[in-house]
Amino acid sequence: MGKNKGNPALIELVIVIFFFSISSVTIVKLFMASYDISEKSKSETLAVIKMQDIAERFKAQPNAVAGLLEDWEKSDNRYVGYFDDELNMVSKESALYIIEITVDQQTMTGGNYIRLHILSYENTSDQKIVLQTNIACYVPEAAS
Amino acid sequence: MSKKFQLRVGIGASSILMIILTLALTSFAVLSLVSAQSDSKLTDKTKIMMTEYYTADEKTEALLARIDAVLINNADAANLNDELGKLNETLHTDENGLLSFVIPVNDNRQIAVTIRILDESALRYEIISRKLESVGDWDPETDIEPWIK
Repeated sequence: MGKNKGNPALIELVIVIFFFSISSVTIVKLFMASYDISEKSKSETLAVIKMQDIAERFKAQPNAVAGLLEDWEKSDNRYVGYFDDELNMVSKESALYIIEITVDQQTMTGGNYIRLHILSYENTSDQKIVLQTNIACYVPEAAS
Repeated sequence: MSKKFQLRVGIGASSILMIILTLALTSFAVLSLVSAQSDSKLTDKTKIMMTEYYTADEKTEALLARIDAVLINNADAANLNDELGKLNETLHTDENGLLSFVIPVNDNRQIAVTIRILDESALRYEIISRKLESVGDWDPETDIEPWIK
């Protein structure tokens, strides 16, 4: 009675599947890494666009910060806005990003110096900062 | 006599298929990673440029506030130009009486501001121009032949 040697094509297929599954892990990791980088740069780009929008609207009407941020949560001189991944305003519970704006107004000799400190961070436990910057505007007052 | 159909796959066919598939998937994965990284670099540059611009803009506003304070406190003083000159080393008055100064944004760009001092007005000055301009020499390539039909 001869020995059963098995089908060589089948044995090869098993080996091929084994190596393919190993290489797939690396390939999937590469895809995941590029997805993560892409999502991070997308959120940062949107944060930059949002901040530029806020900055330019503020500079156009520096005395109307409250009107500019009327939908935002307000406490004293601090405004908080909650945003989704497309930087649309959403409720606090479903927010992925939070933007905090602190308004600092100083009365100078000839007018008001208004400064916004804008801080954008992820709504996660570690609150990773996406972007932060200051925007200022001096509003001279007419002499009486 | 009936013939039984049999699919015969030769030895090596599955290995070749796996190699081709793995190479293709690896190429796509590397391409997507390179693309994502270049996007990320571009975003970082945009972020840095934006932050640098608004930092310089903040300095510009602070300087305008200080200029305004000097104009109020030294409205009739003969040494107004000297007082203003102390505020910023780039601040100078041209032949038309316009005050100009620059605030550097980074090594390549600066904010250039020109203001006019108003003598008989409720406001002490008005901004004539405020622009973001490039610093440094332009070094054009001259050895490129223009394409003319």
